[in-house]
Amino acid sequence: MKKYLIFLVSVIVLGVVLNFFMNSYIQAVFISFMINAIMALSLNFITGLADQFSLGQAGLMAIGAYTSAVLNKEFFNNDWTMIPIGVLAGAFMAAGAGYLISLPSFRLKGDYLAIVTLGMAEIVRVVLLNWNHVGGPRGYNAITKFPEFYFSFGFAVLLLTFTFMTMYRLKFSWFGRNLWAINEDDIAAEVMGLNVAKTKRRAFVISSFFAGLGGGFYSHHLGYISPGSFGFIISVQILIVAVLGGLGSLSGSIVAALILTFLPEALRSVQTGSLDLRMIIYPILLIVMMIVRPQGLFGRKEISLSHFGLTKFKARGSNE
Amino acid sequence: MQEFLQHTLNGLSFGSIYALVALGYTMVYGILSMINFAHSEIYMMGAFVTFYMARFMGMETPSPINFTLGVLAGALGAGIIGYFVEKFAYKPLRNSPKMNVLITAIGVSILFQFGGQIIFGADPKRFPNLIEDEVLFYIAEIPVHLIDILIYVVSFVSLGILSFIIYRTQPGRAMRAVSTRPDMTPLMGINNNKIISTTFIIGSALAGVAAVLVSIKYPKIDPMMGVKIGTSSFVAAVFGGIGSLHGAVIGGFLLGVGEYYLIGYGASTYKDALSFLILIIVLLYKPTGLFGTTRKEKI
Amino acid sequence: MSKLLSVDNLSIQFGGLKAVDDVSFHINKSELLGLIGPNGAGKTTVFNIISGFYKADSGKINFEDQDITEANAAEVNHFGLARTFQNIRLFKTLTVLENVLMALQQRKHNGSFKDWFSSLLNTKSHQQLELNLKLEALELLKIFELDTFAQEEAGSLPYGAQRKLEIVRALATKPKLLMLDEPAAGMNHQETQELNELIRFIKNKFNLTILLIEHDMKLVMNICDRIVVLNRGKKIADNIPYEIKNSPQVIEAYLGKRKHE
Repeated sequence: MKKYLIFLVSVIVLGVVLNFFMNSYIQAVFISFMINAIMALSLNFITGLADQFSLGQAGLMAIGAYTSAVLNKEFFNNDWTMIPIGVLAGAFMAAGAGYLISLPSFRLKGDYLAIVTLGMAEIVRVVLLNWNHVGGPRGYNAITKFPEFYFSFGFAVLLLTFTFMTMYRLKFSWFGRNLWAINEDDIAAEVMGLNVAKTKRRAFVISSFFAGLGGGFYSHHLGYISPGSFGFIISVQILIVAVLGGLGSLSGSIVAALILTFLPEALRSVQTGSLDLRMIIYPILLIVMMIVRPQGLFGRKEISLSHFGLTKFKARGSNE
Repeated sequence: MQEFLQHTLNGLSFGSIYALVALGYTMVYGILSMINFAHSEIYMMGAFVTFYMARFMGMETPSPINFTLGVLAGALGAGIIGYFVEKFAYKPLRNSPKMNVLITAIGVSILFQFGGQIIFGADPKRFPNLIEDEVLFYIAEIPVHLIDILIYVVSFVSLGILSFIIYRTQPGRAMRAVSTRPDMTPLMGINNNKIISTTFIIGSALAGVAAVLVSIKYPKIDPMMGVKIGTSSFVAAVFGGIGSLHGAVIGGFLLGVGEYYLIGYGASTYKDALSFLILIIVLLYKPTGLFGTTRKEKI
Repeated sequence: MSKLLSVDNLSIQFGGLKAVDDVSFHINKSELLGLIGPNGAGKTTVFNIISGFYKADSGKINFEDQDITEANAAEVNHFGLARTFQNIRLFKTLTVLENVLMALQQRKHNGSFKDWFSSLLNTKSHQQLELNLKLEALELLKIFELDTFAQEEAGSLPYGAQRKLEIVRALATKPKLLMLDEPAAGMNHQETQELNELIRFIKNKFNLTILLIEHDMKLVMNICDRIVVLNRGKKIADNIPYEIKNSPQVIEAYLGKRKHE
């Protein structure tokens, strides 16, 4: 009970500080950080925990974003109190899409998910480009936002906590154990009576759900989305966050999202010229990390919530 | 009918390009079981190598010699780049989990795309006119261009050289051996690393050839040019059965022709998405592709 | 005696090679059947077909009067067959306890909505279920004197203990038929003796039927009730150990092989 209280108090303190002592730019960056964290978690679940490479998180994000934005505008009369409903609907749409994608992806062993998700993201993008009702290439405009920062902040914290807790519980549950067993030896896992393909499909549906959740909120955070907001490069950025934090480490994804959201913003002032140097630095970071420190910051470990502040790590599956 | 013929000719010409690029994917997959996401960027680099060579050597006038030099330069340049990509990015990860290699491949791909935008500029560049295109003859009133004929001829010559290497030479035999039992080949005195390098060089060179041919036909090149051809070719490779050389070639032609029919008959705005749709259907109903086989895992 | 498993006219071909050629045999309830033969005789292939990894070109497999010919590996396990592997296949970075838990939980967590939500909300009943699973796993480990290693990574165990853990893990799926693929491979004389004891022990303790593939003739002769001999994909003998030992056909198959070596 105590740790929930500590968590709640720190969130409120953080919210108050951001709301009253920070400018709207920092507020917006902070929300972006939480969206990035949700997206990285969604990728981490399928790629870190289930060891299946997905390159289409941006496509799923787009499904969530467009679903939520269109729902709110067309059916809820731009009522901001209905945003949570739309976001949830976006998550379910993405989960549905994730289920469809999962059908052809796990029939053979190999990296088919990577290529099918890549294709899905492309299909989504092309469909959105050609769909004039949602703006086509011009994008979808004037999406309802929360009227005050603290609503936005509160909702984002809620979503991130929900995402993290769900995945955390699953990671240390029977389901996480099944996933880990498959990573270790899928043949042995099958012999234990586990339907390996089905387990991977479920993991991907869960991952898709949260990608849609992040995307849904993203649309209301920015107020404007276009097919270009969900290109391949976004999937790669999500990948970099998850890899930096450590594939398999959920808290790592959050820490990495914090670093990778604020660092480029901080560097923006020193950056010269119009080139987006991130697109050079990120891939180099990926390559160098894979060679030098493939486990990222935290490997598969979690920063223990109950010992926040102390550097105590909980190994996967250890029994406290 | 005439329209149909036109689409078929265009499709075949692009199909041979897909076949050349798909071979690179399938060869690397066969030997390392990895999707080389950077292959499409090696293709792009092939075009740029020829572009800069033509510029610095002042190859302004179209001539058969310049054409030949251009194709060879693209092949050589792409081959060398493929060699170094493998050596610096993939080789250090030979014993790492496959996921790490895939992530690295993505990194390399992005690095080339955006590094290319910085070094070459993001705007399309005009590819030099290496050979004067002309209409050679007519089939049922459809003009047949020299460049299309050259695409066929060069592709087929390249495929011939490839199958000679793979099926008739010692390194080719070693390549096939490494792709079946990489654990056994070192015992037979085969240097796996050398064979893997060779595979990358050959696969990349084929992509380089394809890039120069495409750039002559559509003389605008830019650092992102590999993405579309790369994805279509990859789909072709999976369609044919990834790991199978024949599959890649036949998959390439089928996809090329299929895509042109779709474009010709009105689905052009969805073209990029359609190749993936084909892929998904293939995976659902014949996951091993046309000629692929599942490897029996030793249990 | 009633038949537990019967294999009828099983054949499979790899390329041009008939790896298994029209093989039929059966196992009675509570029997310990040995499946032997020289290298490349097709023993493991038969094993892999029964356990659902390979699809036979022809033939039928019945288990407790149910046709399991078409079942995949996971389904085969649910029918009540468990197996081990010649080259140990543990979940190496999972702990010893988790290895057993993973096998146990396949019967307890059915993946229903209730199952999902109780684990997401970490309800009392879920905690109880997890606790019971752990206790059951520990109990099982204790029987095999592996409980002291419960929190170690499985991959860090000594070789003999890994073999043992693989058997424990298979038992955790509550099989009726346990199939052991060369459990004595890589063991010295004393370890083989201990394994001998162990197999007898689990057979009685868990009321099991056992199918044993083995190279080690001594082990097979000592503990099997009956032995099936394969050679070049064909069954050449099916009899009690004493008869097998003296069968000229079997001796020829084994000696013939020695000549080639």
